[in-house]
Amino acid sequence: MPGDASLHGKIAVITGAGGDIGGATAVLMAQRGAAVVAVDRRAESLDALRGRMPAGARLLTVTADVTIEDQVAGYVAAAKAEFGRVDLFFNNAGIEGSRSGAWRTIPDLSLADFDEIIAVNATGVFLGLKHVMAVMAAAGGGAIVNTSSINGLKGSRGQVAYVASKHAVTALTVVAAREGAVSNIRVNAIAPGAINGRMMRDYLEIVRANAPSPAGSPSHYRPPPIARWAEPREIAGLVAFLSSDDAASITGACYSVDGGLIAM
Amino acid sequence: MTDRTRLDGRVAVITGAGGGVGREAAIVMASRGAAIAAVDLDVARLEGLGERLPAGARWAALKGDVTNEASIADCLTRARGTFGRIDILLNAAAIEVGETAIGQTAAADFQRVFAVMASGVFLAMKHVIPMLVEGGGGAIVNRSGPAAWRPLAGQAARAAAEAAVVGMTRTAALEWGDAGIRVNCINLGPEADARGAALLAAFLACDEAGFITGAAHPIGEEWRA
Repeated sequence: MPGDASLHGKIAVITGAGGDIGGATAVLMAQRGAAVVAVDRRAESLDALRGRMPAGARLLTVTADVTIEDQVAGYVAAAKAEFGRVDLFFNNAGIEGSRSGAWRTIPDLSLADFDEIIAVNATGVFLGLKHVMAVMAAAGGGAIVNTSSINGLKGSRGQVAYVASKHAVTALTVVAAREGAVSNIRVNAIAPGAINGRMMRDYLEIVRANAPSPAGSPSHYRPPPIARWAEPREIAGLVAFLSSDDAASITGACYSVDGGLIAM
Repeated sequence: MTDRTRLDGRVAVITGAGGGVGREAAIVMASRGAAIAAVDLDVARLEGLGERLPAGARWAALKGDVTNEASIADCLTRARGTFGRIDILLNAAAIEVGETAIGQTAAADFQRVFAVMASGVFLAMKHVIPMLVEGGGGAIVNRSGPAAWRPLAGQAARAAAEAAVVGMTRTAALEWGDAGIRVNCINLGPEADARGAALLAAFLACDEAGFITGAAHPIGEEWRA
């Protein structure tokens, strides 16, 4: 008996599929038998993903901006047109924001920089839920995983918009789980810590260059119990588990995958 | 492609294996390749478990009392003696909790619940951790519940025990992460089924969960901050 929770025959929509976590999840879900609808606003990132998918994988790529409702409705409609339904939704697209807003304490953060992050990380997740849940409910159910963050469970100085947006994701998850239960839709969130990917590398570069005192004093830093960054594939493993039938009684939960950071 | 959800070659000690989550976890983990040391206070409850395990599964039935330090230490020593190593500990032992308001709860009843559901977790972790360290690491999964965040009137002992397990889980994760030991708990809500909880425990114990530690994972109950 294979230990893995097979996703054979499932139709999975993944936003932010051109990024590190979304891409690793697309590959893993395809390896486990799912057809994948990969959504990203950067077409070139989807081309790169196509080259990494396992041989024989069923893949549809859709270029869309998750902050624009017509485009959200568009990727859901494209998935339905190609594969007939949506069983799994990894509502994952997220940004850390522009450099102009990086590492700013609250009085120094512009509304535009605040809004940019909220639009993708919170509004984009809401719009995805809105359009996917309707399709899932009509088809008899499904499983959704939203990408929150350790910053959806705690605060971090100099990151108010990101923290607010990721807290919104955990809140959206609980409400969506309650509303989705009657339609056999499970909704969970993941809370990753530091990932060995583009976002963390860019972020650290900014911190090194810009961190003002006192917002960014690294002197308080203690390494987490697993003192390394996660590989994107390690996050994908949790997403695949929560999406599978092995997790049939898990809903409304936010699962940490952070090397123990939130436990500190 | 290596299937990192498998547990081939691993040895899992499971307390409370005579029924419920413990019993289902023994079945799931054995089906994924693990050898099982099944511990229960009442060994009669372990009869028949072998018939539920896949053909050829390695397993042993061990009588053990998680509230008694010598007993649980002896169980772990015997498990290691039988299988040569220990990689996984699932603390699933639990008891029924009555409903009485704090003012009407006998101290002995409170202490009994806490002894099985919290102190027992401490004792098993205390004695298995050196064995896991010796083997180069491992995974511990503790049974807890949502009462720490969402208590029910009349269940003070359960709330205290479940909160204690979350605290110990986080502490153990902090203390032993360097040694390659991951520690998580599964928080069983009112809608949790034994099979689902067992599948979650098996996931947290496998290499697929290699970056997950120090966390409480709700099942059958929505997340609460």
